[in-house]
Amino acid sequence: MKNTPDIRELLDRYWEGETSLEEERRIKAFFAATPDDDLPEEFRQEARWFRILQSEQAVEAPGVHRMALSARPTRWYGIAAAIVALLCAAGVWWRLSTPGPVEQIVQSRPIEKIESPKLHDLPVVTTPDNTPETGQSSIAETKSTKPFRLKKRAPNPVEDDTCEDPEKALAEIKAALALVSSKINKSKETLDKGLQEVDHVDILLKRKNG
Amino acid sequence: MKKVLLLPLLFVAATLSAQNDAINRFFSQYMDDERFTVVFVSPKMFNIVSKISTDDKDWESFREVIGDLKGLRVLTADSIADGMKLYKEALDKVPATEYEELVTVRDGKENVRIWVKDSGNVINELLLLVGSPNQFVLLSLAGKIDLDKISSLSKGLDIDGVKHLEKAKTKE
Repeated sequence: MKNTPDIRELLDRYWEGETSLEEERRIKAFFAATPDDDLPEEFRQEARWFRILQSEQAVEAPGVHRMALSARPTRWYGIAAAIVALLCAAGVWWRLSTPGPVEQIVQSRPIEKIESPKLHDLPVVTTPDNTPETGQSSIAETKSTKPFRLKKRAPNPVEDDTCEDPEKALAEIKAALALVSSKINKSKETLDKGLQEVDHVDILLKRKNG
Repeated sequence: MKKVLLLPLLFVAATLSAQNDAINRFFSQYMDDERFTVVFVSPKMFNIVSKISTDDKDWESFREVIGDLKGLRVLTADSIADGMKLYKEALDKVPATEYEELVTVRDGKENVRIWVKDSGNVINELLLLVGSPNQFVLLSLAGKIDLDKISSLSKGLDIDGVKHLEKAKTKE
């Protein structure tokens, strides 16, 4: 139990409004810890005051309940945010997994600027709806579909065509497909060879057992 | 509780975005390296090429294959000293959970791997990796891929793909 003259002095300062928060806590702690019977008579009146204060402080403000209820929507916001983040990430992944089309940029480019001497050397591009004035329409069509380096955006060399000439691109595609084809066929040959050896061993075993 | 829900979701999101990105980064990492030849053919170029008319008797079967393709990326190097190192580096970057391994062949010193990514019965991406002590090829083909048709193409293609790719000019 604290020294009562100490508490007396603190109480006097409390009523004068001169105590610090720490000192007020000490006073409250003193009255909380000391039963009425142990208190000197002079403190009993003040003890009731501090106990009332304490009981009032123990009551939860209605706002607390509201906050507790509002935690539920907050959780859903978190889940919603996570789903949005997941969709964004999936979108980025999908975008990266397939080489991006360049149609939009091609369409946004003025036709005049696409013109190049090479256009007339291009093979005639035929489509079912070509009219007799094919000379002009096929060139115009080729103009609108001819790829070019995308200079309007930040350079991304991986996605820019390395061949602007369709015939060169065709040669590259043929080469790539030839490579893939040869490797697939090679694996088939290896497999066939392996199976033939298995058959050969099988025959030998049958002969031995027979 | 929120953290418990959010963490797996964010992990999945990060993993998804990182997987294919690994192959892209590999292309980006070496495309400015003069030892490598880089080829990139966009979907738009595939569209144009598939409309070209030629007298080639095998053209129709070829057109049938490339008409379904949407993109091609090739990174190749010839006469290099660290072909196997590059092969192993690329091998580590291929997301095993995303691609299904189709072919693994070791022929002498040459290692060949082919992976495919499919949805349902349709193969929509093929990845080819070739590595030997002095050669390296990483090839990515996107679109609707018919392996039977591609493997039967070699009869009509009178060029050796590897040799042609070796001769191809570095990015124009």
